[in-house]
Amino acid sequence: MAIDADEIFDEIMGAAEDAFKDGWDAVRQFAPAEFRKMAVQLEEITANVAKFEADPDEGYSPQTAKVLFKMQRTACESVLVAVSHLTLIAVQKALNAIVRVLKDAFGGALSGFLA
Amino acid sequence: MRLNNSIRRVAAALALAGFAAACAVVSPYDEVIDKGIADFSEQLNTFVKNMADAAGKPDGTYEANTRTYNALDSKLDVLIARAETASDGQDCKLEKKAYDRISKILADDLPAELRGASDSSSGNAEGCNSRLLRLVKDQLASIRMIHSKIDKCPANSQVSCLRPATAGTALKIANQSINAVSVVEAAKRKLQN
Repeated sequence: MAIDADEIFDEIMGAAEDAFKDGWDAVRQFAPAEFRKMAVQLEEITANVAKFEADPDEGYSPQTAKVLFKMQRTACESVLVAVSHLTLIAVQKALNAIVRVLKDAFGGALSGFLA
Repeated sequence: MRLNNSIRRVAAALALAGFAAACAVVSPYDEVIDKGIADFSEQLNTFVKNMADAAGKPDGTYEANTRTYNALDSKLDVLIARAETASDGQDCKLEKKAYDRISKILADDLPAELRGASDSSSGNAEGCNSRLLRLVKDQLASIRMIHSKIDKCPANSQVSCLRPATAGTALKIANQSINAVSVVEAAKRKLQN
């Protein structure tokens, strides 16, 4: 089998770069949108406490706001854990792309250990 | 010389192939968790909106709705148990940068399950799945606490309720945690296809 290492190397690099970029785009879309929501919601909590203080039948109490702040902190943790997970998925995509290129290049020679 | 370089590159490519083939850095897509969290989301959103509409009426009290809370909580327990079985009881292992950021933001409130998560050699991605689901469970518990102990309708009464304003904000926040689970599962589904 004729193997052109330089060509394979270029293909691996291209495949990994494209796959990682695609995966990374998911992180780039998700994280800023969620952080923006957090900022808006924190503003909303403050506004509702002010409404309650002006009229106790409107908005919500400072005690409720305290629990909502705690919920927002929990949501922040969810977003950060998800971002970490999405980053790993981007890495996995790049690894899969590399395996695909090598499978195509080496065919049967690697079939024994490339799942 | 050129031949040596080529041989070296092919050897490196073969080593990389072996490494890449052996590396499964994320857990497989789980259709049960994906659909389960979508169902939970629909049920929670409907329930909280109904509670906002019923605030101040007998149907809107906490006491009239404990069964729904129990049903929602049980649904999450089933999903968490599934994720925990897959993780073999291991913790959530985070990327160091993400962990450092979480530590900085949460400071003393960093949950015990996440302490040392970045350097835990026993952590895995399935552990993060169960962590994400536990965070959704925490959000439900917070809504339940407001409904049962804090919000009153009207304000000077002892009638428990979920005020419309509370319901609106709480739902938006809880949906962020739910969305985090869905986004990860969607990315894994895309990876698998």
